[in-house]
Amino acid sequence: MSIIQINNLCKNYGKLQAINNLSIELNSGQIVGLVGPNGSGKSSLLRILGAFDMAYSGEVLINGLKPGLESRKIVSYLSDKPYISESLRAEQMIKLYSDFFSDFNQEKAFNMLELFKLKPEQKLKEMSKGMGDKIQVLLTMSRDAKIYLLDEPISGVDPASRKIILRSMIEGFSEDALMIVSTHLLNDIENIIDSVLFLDSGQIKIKGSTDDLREQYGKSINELFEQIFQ
Amino acid sequence: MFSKLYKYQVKELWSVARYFYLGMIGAIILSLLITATRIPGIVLFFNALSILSFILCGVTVGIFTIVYDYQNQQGKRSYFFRSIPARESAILSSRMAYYFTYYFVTVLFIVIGLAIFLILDNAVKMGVSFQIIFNIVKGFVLRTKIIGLLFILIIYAAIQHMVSMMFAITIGSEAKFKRLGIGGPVLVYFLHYIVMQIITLISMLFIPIAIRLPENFDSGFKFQIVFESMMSEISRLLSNKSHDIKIFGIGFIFITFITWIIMLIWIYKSSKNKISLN
Repeated sequence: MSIIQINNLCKNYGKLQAINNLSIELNSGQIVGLVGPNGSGKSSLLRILGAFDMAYSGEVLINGLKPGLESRKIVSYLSDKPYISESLRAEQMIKLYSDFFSDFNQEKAFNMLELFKLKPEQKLKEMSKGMGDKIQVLLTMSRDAKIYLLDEPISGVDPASRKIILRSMIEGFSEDALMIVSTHLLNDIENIIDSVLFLDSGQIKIKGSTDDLREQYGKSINELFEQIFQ
Repeated sequence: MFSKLYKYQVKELWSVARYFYLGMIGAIILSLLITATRIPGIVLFFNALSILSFILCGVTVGIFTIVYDYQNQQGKRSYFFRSIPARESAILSSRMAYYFTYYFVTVLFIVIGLAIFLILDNAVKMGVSFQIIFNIVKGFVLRTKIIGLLFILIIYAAIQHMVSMMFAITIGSEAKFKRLGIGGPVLVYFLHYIVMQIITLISMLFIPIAIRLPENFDSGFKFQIVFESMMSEISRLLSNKSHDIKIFGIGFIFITFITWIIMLIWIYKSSKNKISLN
């Protein structure tokens, strides 16, 4: 059984249709790139999967259940906006997460803190934007979740930090989990994703494994993206 | 999970609220020190200033209580708070406890502070010591048992405030209000306020249960419950069969309890099934 099943999903913001009759099934054990131009419905889709938006029509099943309490136990979500209290220290955030999420791995979190060269006693408000983004990735990836939903994890981060974040994402990812990474920086994530979903106006334009698509179109995924959305 | 959520919310606001509580204590101390100088003009001026800053601090804590709840439910911290795998009942009850804690503590602070200011003001005006006025007020409070009534009123107002704010934030953040942004909760608050005022007025006037007001309050608050509607008393007044209204309709209390329950169920269902974060 697929860990994510979506049938005829529609999401509207007033008259604007963000997701238009989208159907897809996703299996565990892969990293999926969710790509598309701004306003293509990437964040809306991730919000629905993360149980942050219940105002939709169609069917969405996470591990066989509607998004809600049970899905929150197995889904680790990274928003594209800062969402942690700025007055907290890095170590306090780790403690907070381990209090609320039973699958949170403190050892993993402190290892990543070291990898990111962040100080445990440093407060979020004393950190740069890039450092704050790293903290949020760290907290998200330190959960031993079955599904990781990462919304723009590397946007607004310098190229050197991007590499470290991507490395931590791979290191934190377990083989039997599913990771969906939404981004428009395809060049950076092309090497870590197993499959890709091209989203346009709330519909899937192209989907498939990255190897198959490269072979089929004779181009890199980034080149294919540029060709389609030019 | 309830206690974890409750502690998280209380601690979060405490990092800001503590400074305002300190400000309130500071205003009282300042007022006491200035009063000790016994220079009437200066004392009155600084007491007025202290009362103003004291109330402002209390009101600010109240505003922050609402703002922090909004941040957790719909604002920038909502992607953390709403990702916590907690039952909706735990989220709802922790929010209620959070509101109640801050509202109750702040109002209690304000009431005690204002009482101190009042005693100080009278002590200065009458040219007697703080202790004398304090003893007079203490005697009145103990004789009339007004403190009990005040306590009930604070709890009543705390619950009313808590339910109203939670209702406005939760319902006003549903997808249908999303394009209004923060205007959604504001609109829902005012709509709910108008509806509640109408319901309260109608139930106060027409439900045949009231209390007969005592002729004077000096002997204490001894109310007599009568099963008459306030409207019938008003009718008698309009037809010149009576000179004044001696009863006060309390039917609205029961209706208010019912509306609180309806609103809490509404909040629960909306928060569980209609959540739509920005």
